Amino acid sequence: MMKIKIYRSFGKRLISKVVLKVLGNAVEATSKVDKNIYHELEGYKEGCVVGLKAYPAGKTMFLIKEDGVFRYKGTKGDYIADYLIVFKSLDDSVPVFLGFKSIEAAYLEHRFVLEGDLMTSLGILRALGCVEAYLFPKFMLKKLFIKVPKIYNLKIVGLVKTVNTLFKNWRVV
Amino acid sequence: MRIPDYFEFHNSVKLLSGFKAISHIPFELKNLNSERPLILTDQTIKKLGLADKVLNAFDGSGIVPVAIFDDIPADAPLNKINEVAKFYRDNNCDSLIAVGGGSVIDSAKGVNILVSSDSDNLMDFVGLDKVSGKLRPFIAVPTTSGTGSEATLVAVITDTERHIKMEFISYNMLPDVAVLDPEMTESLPPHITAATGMDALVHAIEAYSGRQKNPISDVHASAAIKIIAENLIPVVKNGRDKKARLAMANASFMAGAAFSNSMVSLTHAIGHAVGAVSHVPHGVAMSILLPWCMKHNLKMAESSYAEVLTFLKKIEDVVALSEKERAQACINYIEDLLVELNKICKLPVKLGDAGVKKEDFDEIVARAINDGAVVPNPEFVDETIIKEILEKAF
Ligand SMILES: [Fe+2]
Repeated sequence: MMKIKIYRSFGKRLISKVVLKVLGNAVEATSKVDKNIYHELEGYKEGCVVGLKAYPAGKTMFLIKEDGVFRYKGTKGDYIADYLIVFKSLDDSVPVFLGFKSIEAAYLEHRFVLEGDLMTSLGILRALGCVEAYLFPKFMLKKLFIKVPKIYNLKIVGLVKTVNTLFKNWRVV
Repeated sequence: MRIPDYFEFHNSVKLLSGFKAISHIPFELKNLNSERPLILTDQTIKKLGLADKVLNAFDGSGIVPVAIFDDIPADAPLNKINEVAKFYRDNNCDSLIAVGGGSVIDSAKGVNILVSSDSDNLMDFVGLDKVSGKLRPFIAVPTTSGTGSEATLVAVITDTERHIKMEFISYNMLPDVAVLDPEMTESLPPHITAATGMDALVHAIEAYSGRQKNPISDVHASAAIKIIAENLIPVVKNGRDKKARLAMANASFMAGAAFSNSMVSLTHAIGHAVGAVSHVPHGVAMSILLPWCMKHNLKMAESSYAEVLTFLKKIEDVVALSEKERAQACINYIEDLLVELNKICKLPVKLGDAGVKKEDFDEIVARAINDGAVVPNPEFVDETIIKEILEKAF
Protein backbone atom coordinates (compact mmCIF):
# COMPACT_ATOMS: atom_id res chain seq x y z
CA MET A 1 0.00 0.00 0.00
CA MET A 2 1.24 3.47 -0.87
CA LYS A 3 1.79 5.85 1.99
CA ILE A 4 -0.32 9.00 1.62
CA LYS A 5 1.73 12.15 1.51
CA ILE A 6 0.12 15.56 1.08
CA TYR A 7 2.35 18.50 0.29
CA ARG A 8 1.85 21.17 2.94
CA SER A 9 2.25 24.69 1.60
CA PHE A 10 3.76 26.76 4.39
CA GLY A 11 3.97 29.74 2.04
CA LYS A 12 0.22 29.85 1.43
CA ARG A 13 -0.45 29.32 5.12
CA LEU A 14 1.90 32.13 6.01
CA ILE A 15 0.30 34.48 3.47
CA SER A 16 -3.19 33.73 4.78
CA LYS A 17 -2.08 34.18 8.38
CA VAL A 18 -0.42 37.52 7.71
CA VAL A 19 -3.18 38.84 5.45
CA LEU A 20 -5.98 37.85 7.85
CA LYS A 21 -4.22 39.91 10.52
CA VAL A 22 -3.61 42.89 8.22
CA LEU A 23 -7.12 42.73 6.78
CA GLY A 24 -8.78 42.47 10.18
CA ASN A 25 -6.85 45.47 11.48
CA ALA A 26 -7.43 47.36 8.24
CA VAL A 27 -11.20 46.94 8.62
CA GLU A 28 -10.99 48.31 12.18
CA ALA A 29 -8.72 51.19 11.13
CA THR A 30 -10.37 52.29 7.88
CA SER A 31 -13.92 52.20 9.16
CA LYS A 32 -12.88 55.00 11.54
CA VAL A 33 -11.50 57.20 8.75
CA ASP A 34 -13.68 56.35 5.73
CA LYS A 35 -17.34 57.35 5.79
CA ASN A 36 -18.21 54.86 3.05
CA ILE A 37 -16.83 51.86 4.98
CA TYR A 38 -18.44 53.18 8.16
CA HIS A 39 -21.76 53.56 6.30
CA GLU A 40 -21.61 50.02 4.88
CA LEU A 41 -21.09 48.57 8.36
CA GLU A 42 -23.40 50.96 10.19
CA GLY A 43 -26.47 48.72 9.91
CA TYR A 44 -24.97 45.73 11.72
CA LYS A 45 -26.01 45.40 15.35
CA GLU A 46 -23.61 45.91 18.27
CA GLY A 47 -21.95 42.63 19.16
CA CYS A 48 -22.28 41.33 15.60
CA VAL A 49 -19.55 38.74 14.95
CA VAL A 50 -17.96 38.30 11.52
CA GLY A 51 -15.61 35.36 10.97
CA LEU A 52 -13.21 34.75 8.09
CA LYS A 53 -11.42 31.48 7.41
CA ALA A 54 -8.75 31.17 4.73
CA TYR A 55 -9.32 27.42 4.35
CA PRO A 56 -11.64 24.85 5.95
CA ALA A 57 -9.10 23.50 8.44
CA GLY A 58 -7.67 26.96 9.17
CA LYS A 59 -8.27 29.26 12.11
CA THR A 60 -11.09 31.79 12.05
CA MET A 61 -10.24 35.48 12.25
CA PHE A 62 -12.97 37.33 14.12
CA LEU A 63 -14.22 40.89 13.91
CA ILE A 64 -16.75 42.05 16.50
CA LYS A 65 -18.74 45.25 16.40
CA GLU A 66 -18.08 47.33 19.52
CA ASP A 67 -18.97 51.00 19.93
CA GLY A 68 -20.01 51.23 16.30
CA VAL A 69 -16.80 49.81 14.83
CA PHE A 70 -15.79 46.27 13.88
CA ARG A 71 -12.74 45.46 15.99
CA TYR A 72 -10.10 42.89 15.24
CA LYS A 73 -10.22 40.02 17.74
CA GLY A 74 -7.60 37.67 16.34
CA THR A 75 -8.06 33.94 15.91
CA LYS A 76 -8.01 32.67 19.45
CA GLY A 77 -11.54 33.57 20.59
CA ASP A 78 -14.40 31.13 20.84
CA TYR A 79 -17.14 33.19 19.24
CA ILE A 80 -20.21 32.17 17.30
CA ALA A 81 -20.15 34.13 14.06
CA ASP A 82 -23.28 35.80 12.72
CA TYR A 83 -21.58 35.80 9.34
CA LEU A 84 -18.87 33.28 8.60
CA ILE A 85 -16.92 33.25 5.35
CA VAL A 86 -14.99 30.02 4.78
CA PHE A 87 -12.85 29.77 1.65
CA LYS A 88 -13.07 26.33 0.09
CA SER A 89 -9.28 25.99 -0.23
CA LEU A 90 -6.04 27.90 0.16
CA ASP A 91 -5.97 28.31 -3.62
CA ASP A 92 -9.28 30.17 -3.36
CA SER A 93 -8.27 32.55 -0.57
CA VAL A 94 -4.66 33.38 -1.43
CA PRO A 95 -5.44 35.16 -4.77
CA VAL A 96 -8.05 37.27 -2.94
CA PHE A 97 -5.63 38.04 -0.12
CA LEU A 98 -2.90 39.07 -2.57
CA GLY A 99 -5.21 41.35 -4.54
CA PHE A 100 -5.42 39.24 -7.69
CA LYS A 101 -9.13 38.57 -7.26
CA SER A 102 -11.86 40.66 -5.67
CA ILE A 103 -14.00 39.32 -2.88
CA GLU A 104 -17.02 39.89 -5.17
CA ALA A 105 -15.51 37.71 -7.89
CA ALA A 106 -14.77 35.03 -5.30
CA TYR A 107 -18.44 35.21 -4.23
CA LEU A 108 -19.61 34.86 -7.84
CA GLU A 109 -17.33 31.90 -8.43
CA HIS A 110 -18.54 30.02 -5.32
CA ARG A 111 -15.03 30.12 -3.89
CA PHE A 112 -16.29 30.39 -0.35
CA VAL A 113 -19.15 29.22 1.81
CA LEU A 114 -21.06 31.98 3.54
CA GLU A 115 -22.91 30.97 6.67
CA GLY A 116 -25.45 33.53 7.86
CA ASP A 117 -28.12 35.82 6.52
CA LEU A 118 -27.36 36.29 2.82
CA MET A 119 -29.90 39.10 2.57
CA THR A 120 -27.82 41.31 4.89
CA SER A 121 -24.33 40.07 4.08
CA LEU A 122 -23.63 42.29 1.09
CA GLY A 123 -22.61 45.30 3.20
CA ILE A 124 -19.75 43.26 4.64
CA LEU A 125 -18.56 42.20 1.17
CA ARG A 126 -18.77 45.79 -0.09
CA ALA A 127 -16.90 47.08 2.97
CA LEU A 128 -14.14 44.52 2.36
CA GLY A 129 -13.98 45.78 -1.24
CA CYS A 130 -13.49 49.35 0.02
CA VAL A 131 -10.78 48.17 2.45
CA GLU A 132 -9.03 46.54 -0.54
CA ALA A 133 -9.09 49.97 -2.18
CA TYR A 134 -6.85 51.25 0.64
CA LEU A 135 -4.54 48.24 0.68
CA PHE A 136 -3.78 47.73 -3.01
CA PRO A 137 -2.34 50.02 -5.70
CA LYS A 138 -4.64 51.55 -8.31
CA PHE A 139 -3.37 49.47 -11.26
CA MET A 140 -4.35 46.29 -9.39
CA LEU A 141 -7.69 47.66 -8.27
CA LYS A 142 -8.64 48.55 -11.85
CA LYS A 143 -8.42 44.87 -12.74
CA LEU A 144 -10.49 43.86 -9.73
CA PHE A 145 -13.53 46.12 -9.99
CA ILE A 146 -15.88 47.38 -12.73
CA LYS A 147 -15.57 50.67 -10.88
CA VAL A 148 -12.97 51.02 -8.14
CA PRO A 149 -14.71 51.77 -4.81
CA LYS A 150 -14.38 55.43 -3.90
CA ILE A 151 -12.27 56.08 -0.85
CA TYR A 152 -13.11 59.07 1.30
CA ASN A 153 -9.71 59.70 2.78
CA LEU A 154 -6.13 59.72 1.57
CA LYS A 155 -4.82 56.23 0.90
CA ILE A 156 -1.82 56.99 3.08
CA VAL A 157 -4.11 57.87 6.00
CA GLY A 158 -5.81 54.46 5.75
CA LEU A 159 -2.44 52.70 5.55
CA VAL A 160 -0.91 54.62 8.47
CA LYS A 161 -4.01 54.00 10.58
CA THR A 162 -3.86 50.30 9.70
CA VAL A 163 -0.21 50.09 10.80
CA ASN A 164 -1.15 51.97 13.97
CA THR A 165 -3.96 49.53 14.70
CA LEU A 166 -1.65 46.60 14.00
CA PHE A 167 0.72 47.96 16.69
CA LYS A 168 -2.15 48.63 19.07
CA ASN A 169 -3.44 45.07 18.56
CA TRP A 170 -0.02 43.41 18.44
CA ARG A 171 -0.90 41.17 21.36
CA VAL A 172 -4.12 40.03 19.68
CA VAL A 173 -3.24 36.98 17.61
CA MET B 1 -16.88 32.74 -26.51
CA ARG B 2 -15.48 33.81 -23.15
CA ILE B 3 -14.64 31.00 -20.77
CA PRO B 4 -14.57 32.29 -17.19
CA ASP B 5 -11.43 31.75 -15.10
CA TYR B 6 -13.52 29.46 -12.99
CA PHE B 7 -17.16 28.47 -12.85
CA GLU B 8 -19.37 25.74 -11.46
CA PHE B 9 -22.34 24.17 -13.14
CA HIS B 10 -24.68 21.71 -11.52
CA ASN B 11 -28.01 20.42 -12.72
CA SER B 12 -28.70 16.94 -11.49
CA VAL B 13 -32.46 17.16 -12.03
CA LYS B 14 -34.00 14.35 -14.07
CA LEU B 15 -36.50 15.94 -16.40
CA LEU B 16 -39.81 14.37 -17.41
CA SER B 17 -41.27 16.55 -20.12
CA GLY B 18 -44.39 15.91 -22.11
CA PHE B 19 -47.99 14.89 -22.25
CA LYS B 20 -49.07 12.71 -19.28
CA ALA B 21 -45.62 13.18 -17.73
CA ILE B 22 -47.27 13.16 -14.29
CA SER B 23 -48.24 9.53 -14.79
CA HIS B 24 -44.58 8.61 -14.35
CA ILE B 25 -44.31 10.06 -10.85
CA PRO B 26 -44.93 6.69 -9.07
CA PHE B 27 -42.30 5.00 -11.26
CA GLU B 28 -39.79 7.72 -10.42
CA LEU B 29 -40.55 7.33 -6.71
CA LYS B 30 -39.77 3.61 -6.94
CA ASN B 31 -36.60 4.53 -8.78
CA LEU B 32 -35.69 6.68 -5.79
CA ASN B 33 -36.50 3.80 -3.37
CA SER B 34 -39.49 5.69 -2.01
CA GLU B 35 -43.02 4.55 -1.34
CA ARG B 36 -44.35 6.92 1.30
CA PRO B 37 -44.44 10.35 -0.39
CA LEU B 38 -45.88 13.46 1.19
CA ILE B 39 -47.49 15.92 -1.23
CA LEU B 40 -47.38 19.71 -0.82
CA THR B 41 -49.65 22.02 -2.76
CA ASP B 42 -51.84 25.11 -2.28
CA GLN B 43 -55.55 25.90 -2.31
CA THR B 44 -55.59 27.38 -5.83
CA ILE B 45 -53.98 24.27 -7.28
CA LYS B 46 -56.47 22.14 -5.39
CA LYS B 47 -59.45 24.15 -6.66
CA LEU B 48 -58.19 23.90 -10.23
CA GLY B 49 -58.22 20.10 -9.85
CA LEU B 50 -54.47 19.84 -10.48
CA ALA B 51 -53.74 18.17 -7.14
CA ASP B 52 -56.34 15.49 -7.99
CA LYS B 53 -54.64 14.92 -11.35
CA VAL B 54 -51.39 14.15 -9.54
CA LEU B 55 -53.18 11.90 -7.02
CA ASN B 56 -54.92 10.01 -9.83
CA ALA B 57 -51.53 9.32 -11.37
CA PHE B 58 -50.96 6.84 -8.51
CA ASP B 59 -53.82 4.61 -9.73
CA GLY B 60 -52.50 1.09 -10.21
CA SER B 61 -49.00 1.99 -9.06
CA GLY B 62 -49.03 0.20 -5.72
CA ILE B 63 -48.01 3.46 -4.00
CA VAL B 64 -50.38 5.57 -1.95
CA PRO B 65 -49.20 9.02 -0.82
CA VAL B 66 -49.19 9.34 2.97
CA ALA B 67 -50.97 12.70 2.92
CA ILE B 68 -51.45 15.91 1.01
CA PHE B 69 -50.88 19.33 2.57
CA ASP B 70 -53.07 21.48 0.34
CA ASP B 71 -52.76 24.74 2.26
CA ILE B 72 -49.17 25.87 1.67
CA PRO B 73 -49.39 29.68 1.80
CA ALA B 74 -47.61 32.13 -0.50
CA ASP B 75 -44.10 33.20 0.58
CA ALA B 76 -43.31 29.79 2.11
CA PRO B 77 -43.77 30.66 5.82
CA LEU B 78 -41.48 29.03 8.37
CA ASN B 79 -44.24 27.89 10.77
CA LYS B 80 -45.93 25.90 8.00
CA ILE B 81 -42.61 24.34 7.00
CA ASN B 82 -41.96 23.28 10.60
CA GLU B 83 -45.48 21.79 10.79
CA VAL B 84 -45.06 19.82 7.57
CA ALA B 85 -41.59 18.60 8.61
CA LYS B 86 -42.97 17.36 11.95
CA PHE B 87 -45.76 15.52 10.13
CA TYR B 88 -43.23 13.99 7.73
CA ARG B 89 -41.13 12.65 10.61
CA ASP B 90 -44.09 11.48 12.76
CA ASN B 91 -45.57 9.54 9.84
CA ASN B 92 -42.38 8.02 8.47
CA CYS B 93 -42.73 9.64 5.08
CA ASP B 94 -39.77 9.00 2.79
CA SER B 95 -40.09 11.56 -0.03
CA LEU B 96 -41.65 14.87 -1.04
CA ILE B 97 -43.72 15.93 -4.03
CA ALA B 98 -44.32 19.65 -4.56
CA VAL B 99 -47.18 20.57 -6.89
CA GLY B 100 -47.35 24.32 -7.42
CA GLY B 101 -45.50 27.53 -8.16
CA GLY B 102 -42.36 28.95 -6.59
CA SER B 103 -43.74 29.18 -3.03
CA VAL B 104 -44.82 25.54 -2.85
CA ILE B 105 -41.56 24.29 -4.36
CA ASP B 106 -39.52 26.55 -2.04
CA SER B 107 -41.54 25.26 0.94
CA ALA B 108 -40.77 21.69 -0.07
CA LYS B 109 -37.07 22.60 -0.30
CA GLY B 110 -37.28 23.98 3.25
CA VAL B 111 -39.06 20.86 4.55
CA ASN B 112 -36.48 18.70 2.82
CA ILE B 113 -33.58 20.49 4.53
CA LEU B 114 -35.18 19.82 7.92
CA VAL B 115 -36.26 16.20 7.41
CA SER B 116 -32.86 15.30 5.95
CA SER B 117 -31.01 16.55 9.04
CA ASP B 118 -31.19 16.17 12.81
CA SER B 119 -31.95 19.86 13.25
CA ASP B 120 -35.39 21.35 13.65
CA ASN B 121 -34.12 24.89 13.15
CA LEU B 122 -33.90 26.09 9.55
CA MET B 123 -31.72 29.03 10.69
CA ASP B 124 -28.86 26.52 11.01
CA PHE B 125 -28.80 26.24 7.22
CA VAL B 126 -29.17 29.86 6.12
CA GLY B 127 -26.41 30.90 3.77
CA LEU B 128 -24.42 30.06 0.68
CA ASP B 129 -23.54 26.39 0.24
CA LYS B 130 -24.44 25.64 3.87
CA VAL B 131 -26.80 22.71 3.19
CA SER B 132 -24.63 19.65 2.85
CA GLY B 133 -25.21 15.99 2.07
CA LYS B 134 -27.87 14.25 0.02
CA LEU B 135 -31.40 15.28 0.91
CA ARG B 136 -34.54 13.10 0.78
CA PRO B 137 -36.07 12.19 -2.61
CA PHE B 138 -37.92 15.20 -3.97
CA ILE B 139 -40.11 15.58 -7.06
CA ALA B 140 -41.22 19.02 -8.27
CA VAL B 141 -44.28 19.50 -10.46
CA PRO B 142 -44.40 23.19 -11.47
CA THR B 143 -47.80 24.67 -12.24
CA THR B 144 -46.46 27.92 -13.71
CA SER B 145 -43.84 28.43 -16.41
CA GLY B 146 -41.60 31.11 -15.02
CA THR B 147 -39.94 30.78 -11.63
CA GLY B 148 -37.81 27.84 -12.73
CA SER B 149 -37.74 26.73 -9.06
CA GLU B 150 -37.82 23.12 -10.25
CA ALA B 151 -34.29 23.65 -11.60
CA THR B 152 -32.77 26.07 -9.09
CA LEU B 153 -30.54 25.85 -6.06
CA VAL B 154 -32.33 28.65 -4.20
CA ALA B 155 -35.16 28.75 -1.68
CA VAL B 156 -36.56 31.82 0.05
CA ILE B 157 -38.54 31.18 3.21
CA THR B 158 -40.36 33.76 5.33
CA ASP B 159 -40.15 33.91 9.08
CA THR B 160 -43.49 35.63 9.61
CA GLU B 161 -42.94 36.08 13.36
CA ARG B 162 -39.62 37.91 13.01
CA HIS B 163 -40.62 39.50 9.68
CA ILE B 164 -37.49 38.33 7.88
CA LYS B 165 -36.82 36.36 4.74
CA MET B 166 -34.30 33.56 4.93
CA GLU B 167 -32.32 32.65 1.83
CA PHE B 168 -30.82 29.25 1.21
CA ILE B 169 -28.47 28.58 -1.68
CA SER B 170 -27.14 25.08 -2.17
CA TYR B 171 -26.82 22.68 -5.08
CA ASN B 172 -28.03 19.96 -2.71
CA MET B 173 -31.54 21.41 -2.66
CA LEU B 174 -32.22 20.70 -6.33
CA PRO B 175 -35.14 18.33 -6.85
CA ASP B 176 -34.32 14.81 -8.02
CA VAL B 177 -37.03 14.95 -10.66
CA ALA B 178 -38.92 17.79 -12.36
CA VAL B 179 -42.19 16.96 -14.11
CA LEU B 180 -43.25 19.28 -16.92
CA ASP B 181 -46.75 18.33 -18.01
CA PRO B 182 -48.72 20.82 -20.13
CA GLU B 183 -51.92 19.82 -18.33
CA MET B 184 -50.51 21.40 -15.17
CA THR B 185 -50.18 24.88 -16.67
CA GLU B 186 -53.01 25.09 -19.20
CA SER B 187 -55.49 26.72 -16.81
CA LEU B 188 -53.21 29.69 -16.07
CA PRO B 189 -54.97 32.95 -17.06
CA PRO B 190 -53.36 35.07 -19.82
CA HIS B 191 -51.90 37.84 -17.62
CA ILE B 192 -50.21 35.31 -15.29
CA THR B 193 -48.97 33.34 -18.29
CA ALA B 194 -47.48 36.56 -19.67
CA ALA B 195 -45.90 37.70 -16.39
CA THR B 196 -44.40 34.30 -15.54
CA GLY B 197 -43.19 33.87 -19.13
CA MET B 198 -41.47 37.24 -18.93
CA ASP B 199 -39.86 36.16 -15.64
CA ALA B 200 -38.37 33.16 -17.45
CA LEU B 201 -37.14 35.46 -20.23
CA VAL B 202 -35.45 37.73 -17.66
CA HIS B 203 -33.79 34.69 -16.03
CA ALA B 204 -32.37 33.67 -19.39
CA ILE B 205 -31.25 37.15 -20.48
CA GLU B 206 -29.67 37.98 -17.11
CA ALA B 207 -27.90 34.61 -16.94
CA TYR B 208 -26.63 35.14 -20.49
CA SER B 209 -25.36 38.66 -19.89
CA GLY B 210 -24.18 38.56 -16.25
CA ARG B 211 -20.62 38.50 -14.96
CA GLN B 212 -20.83 34.80 -14.12
CA LYS B 213 -22.03 33.67 -17.55
CA ASN B 214 -20.46 30.42 -18.69
CA PRO B 215 -20.76 28.28 -21.82
CA ILE B 216 -22.94 25.59 -20.21
CA SER B 217 -25.43 28.09 -18.77
CA ASP B 218 -25.36 29.98 -22.07
CA VAL B 219 -26.58 26.90 -23.93
CA HIS B 220 -29.54 26.61 -21.58
CA ALA B 221 -30.27 30.36 -21.64
CA SER B 222 -30.08 30.72 -25.42
CA ALA B 223 -32.42 27.77 -26.00
CA ALA B 224 -34.85 29.20 -23.44
CA ILE B 225 -34.82 32.62 -25.16
CA LYS B 226 -35.52 31.03 -28.58
CA ILE B 227 -38.45 29.02 -27.20
CA ILE B 228 -39.93 32.01 -25.39
CA ALA B 229 -39.66 34.18 -28.52
CA GLU B 230 -41.61 31.58 -30.49
CA ASN B 231 -44.20 30.62 -27.90
CA LEU B 232 -44.94 33.40 -25.42
CA ILE B 233 -47.39 35.41 -27.53
CA PRO B 234 -49.19 32.29 -28.89
CA VAL B 235 -49.62 30.82 -25.39
CA VAL B 236 -50.89 34.11 -23.93
CA LYS B 237 -53.41 34.32 -26.78
CA ASN B 238 -54.45 30.68 -26.47
CA GLY B 239 -53.76 29.06 -23.12
CA ARG B 240 -55.16 25.72 -24.34
CA ASP B 241 -52.33 25.40 -26.87
CA LYS B 242 -50.69 22.39 -25.19
CA LYS B 243 -47.63 22.37 -27.42
CA ALA B 244 -46.89 26.01 -26.60
CA ARG B 245 -47.53 25.31 -22.91
CA LEU B 246 -45.03 22.45 -22.96
CA ALA B 247 -42.52 24.61 -24.83
CA MET B 248 -42.82 27.37 -22.22
CA ALA B 249 -42.42 24.84 -19.39
CA ASN B 250 -39.19 23.68 -21.04
CA ALA B 251 -38.00 27.25 -21.47
CA SER B 252 -38.72 28.00 -17.82
CA PHE B 253 -36.78 24.91 -16.73
CA MET B 254 -33.79 25.77 -18.91
CA ALA B 255 -33.78 29.41 -17.87
CA GLY B 256 -33.93 28.17 -14.26
CA ALA B 257 -30.94 25.88 -14.81
CA ALA B 258 -29.06 28.77 -16.45
CA PHE B 259 -29.62 31.33 -13.69
CA SER B 260 -29.20 28.74 -10.97
CA ASN B 261 -25.57 28.59 -12.07
CA SER B 262 -24.91 32.03 -13.57
CA MET B 263 -27.18 34.05 -11.29
CA VAL B 264 -29.57 36.85 -12.15
CA SER B 265 -28.71 40.53 -11.94
CA LEU B 266 -30.07 44.06 -11.68
CA THR B 267 -33.65 43.46 -12.89
CA HIS B 268 -34.03 40.89 -10.14
CA ALA B 269 -32.29 42.99 -7.49
CA ILE B 270 -34.72 45.87 -8.07
CA GLY B 271 -37.64 43.52 -8.79
CA HIS B 272 -37.26 41.67 -5.49
CA ALA B 273 -37.35 45.01 -3.66
CA VAL B 274 -40.35 46.27 -5.67
CA GLY B 275 -42.15 43.03 -4.77
CA ALA B 276 -41.31 43.27 -1.07
CA VAL B 277 -42.10 46.98 -0.65
CA SER B 278 -44.92 47.63 -3.13
CA HIS B 279 -46.27 44.06 -3.44
CA VAL B 280 -45.96 43.95 -7.21
CA PRO B 281 -46.12 40.36 -8.53
CA HIS B 282 -42.61 39.17 -9.42
CA GLY B 283 -43.24 38.57 -13.13
CA VAL B 284 -44.90 41.98 -13.54
CA ALA B 285 -41.96 43.75 -11.88
CA MET B 286 -39.57 41.77 -14.08
CA SER B 287 -41.24 42.73 -17.34
CA ILE B 288 -41.47 46.45 -16.46
CA LEU B 289 -37.88 46.72 -15.25
CA LEU B 290 -36.12 44.57 -17.85
CA PRO B 291 -35.72 47.13 -20.69
CA TRP B 292 -34.59 49.89 -18.30
CA CYS B 293 -31.99 47.67 -16.65
CA MET B 294 -30.80 46.51 -20.08
CA LYS B 295 -30.40 50.16 -21.13
CA HIS B 296 -28.26 50.78 -18.06
CA ASN B 297 -26.13 47.67 -18.84
CA LEU B 298 -25.95 48.29 -22.58
CA LYS B 299 -22.30 49.37 -22.74
CA MET B 300 -20.90 46.49 -20.71
CA ALA B 301 -23.30 43.83 -22.03
CA GLU B 302 -23.38 44.96 -25.67
CA SER B 303 -22.03 41.75 -27.16
CA SER B 304 -24.31 39.56 -25.01
CA TYR B 305 -27.41 41.56 -25.98
CA ALA B 306 -26.34 41.46 -29.64
CA GLU B 307 -26.22 37.67 -29.40
CA VAL B 308 -29.56 37.54 -27.57
CA LEU B 309 -31.14 39.30 -30.56
CA THR B 310 -30.06 36.42 -32.79
CA PHE B 311 -32.06 34.07 -30.53
CA LEU B 312 -35.11 36.35 -30.54
CA LYS B 313 -35.30 37.03 -34.28
CA LYS B 314 -34.71 35.24 -37.55
CA ILE B 315 -31.08 35.43 -38.67
CA GLU B 316 -32.01 37.21 -41.93
CA ASP B 317 -33.50 40.04 -39.87
CA VAL B 318 -30.29 40.68 -37.94
CA VAL B 319 -27.50 39.77 -40.32
CA ALA B 320 -27.08 43.28 -41.72
CA LEU B 321 -26.80 44.92 -38.31
CA SER B 322 -23.59 45.79 -36.50
CA GLU B 323 -23.04 44.51 -32.96
CA LYS B 324 -24.01 47.88 -31.53
CA GLU B 325 -27.19 48.00 -33.62
CA ARG B 326 -28.09 44.43 -32.65
CA ALA B 327 -27.75 45.20 -28.95
CA GLN B 328 -30.01 48.24 -29.27
CA ALA B 329 -32.46 46.25 -31.44
CA CYS B 330 -32.58 43.62 -28.70
CA ILE B 331 -33.84 46.20 -26.21
CA ASN B 332 -36.31 47.53 -28.80
CA TYR B 333 -37.59 43.98 -29.33
CA ILE B 334 -38.27 43.60 -25.59
CA GLU B 335 -40.08 46.95 -25.50
CA ASP B 336 -42.26 45.95 -28.48
CA LEU B 337 -43.00 42.61 -26.85
CA LEU B 338 -44.18 44.36 -23.69
CA VAL B 339 -46.44 46.70 -25.67
CA GLU B 340 -47.98 43.69 -27.41
CA LEU B 341 -48.50 41.80 -24.13
CA ASN B 342 -50.09 44.93 -22.69
CA LYS B 343 -52.53 45.00 -25.63
CA ILE B 344 -53.39 41.30 -25.30
CA CYS B 345 -53.70 40.92 -21.53
CA LYS B 346 -53.13 44.34 -19.93
CA LEU B 347 -49.69 43.41 -18.53
CA PRO B 348 -48.57 46.72 -16.95
CA VAL B 349 -45.66 48.49 -18.63
CA LYS B 350 -45.04 51.10 -15.94
CA LEU B 351 -44.37 50.75 -12.23
CA GLY B 352 -47.01 53.40 -11.51
CA ASP B 353 -49.63 51.24 -13.21
CA ALA B 354 -48.55 48.23 -11.15
CA GLY B 355 -49.25 49.92 -7.82
CA VAL B 356 -45.82 51.36 -6.97
CA LYS B 357 -45.86 54.77 -5.29
CA LYS B 358 -43.04 57.30 -5.52
CA GLU B 359 -42.90 57.32 -1.71
CA ASP B 360 -41.79 53.67 -1.91
CA PHE B 361 -38.64 54.50 -3.87
CA ASP B 362 -36.27 55.12 -0.96
CA GLU B 363 -37.12 51.81 0.69
CA ILE B 364 -36.92 49.98 -2.65
CA VAL B 365 -33.45 51.47 -3.30
CA ALA B 366 -32.22 50.53 0.19
CA ARG B 367 -33.33 46.93 -0.30
CA ALA B 368 -32.22 46.56 -3.91
CA ILE B 369 -28.62 47.67 -3.29
CA ASN B 370 -28.29 44.93 -0.67
CA ASP B 371 -29.72 42.21 -2.89
CA GLY B 372 -27.17 39.57 -3.90
CA ALA B 373 -28.30 39.94 -7.52
CA VAL B 374 -26.47 43.28 -7.86
CA VAL B 375 -23.10 41.49 -7.66
CA PRO B 376 -23.25 39.64 -11.03
CA ASN B 377 -24.58 42.73 -12.84
CA PRO B 378 -22.35 43.54 -15.83
CA GLU B 379 -22.37 47.31 -15.18
CA PHE B 380 -21.62 49.23 -11.98
CA VAL B 381 -24.66 49.87 -9.76
CA ASP B 382 -25.21 52.21 -6.84
CA GLU B 383 -28.18 53.75 -5.06
CA THR B 384 -28.38 56.74 -7.43
CA ILE B 385 -28.52 54.48 -10.49
CA ILE B 386 -31.28 52.32 -8.99
CA LYS B 387 -33.30 55.43 -8.19
CA GLU B 388 -32.87 56.69 -11.77
CA ILE B 389 -34.10 53.35 -13.14
CA LEU B 390 -37.14 53.49 -10.86
CA GLU B 391 -37.92 57.03 -12.04
CA LYS B 392 -37.67 55.99 -15.69
CA ALA B 393 -39.78 52.86 -15.20
CA PHE B 394 -42.42 54.80 -13.27
FE1 LIG C 1 -37.39 35.68 -11.41
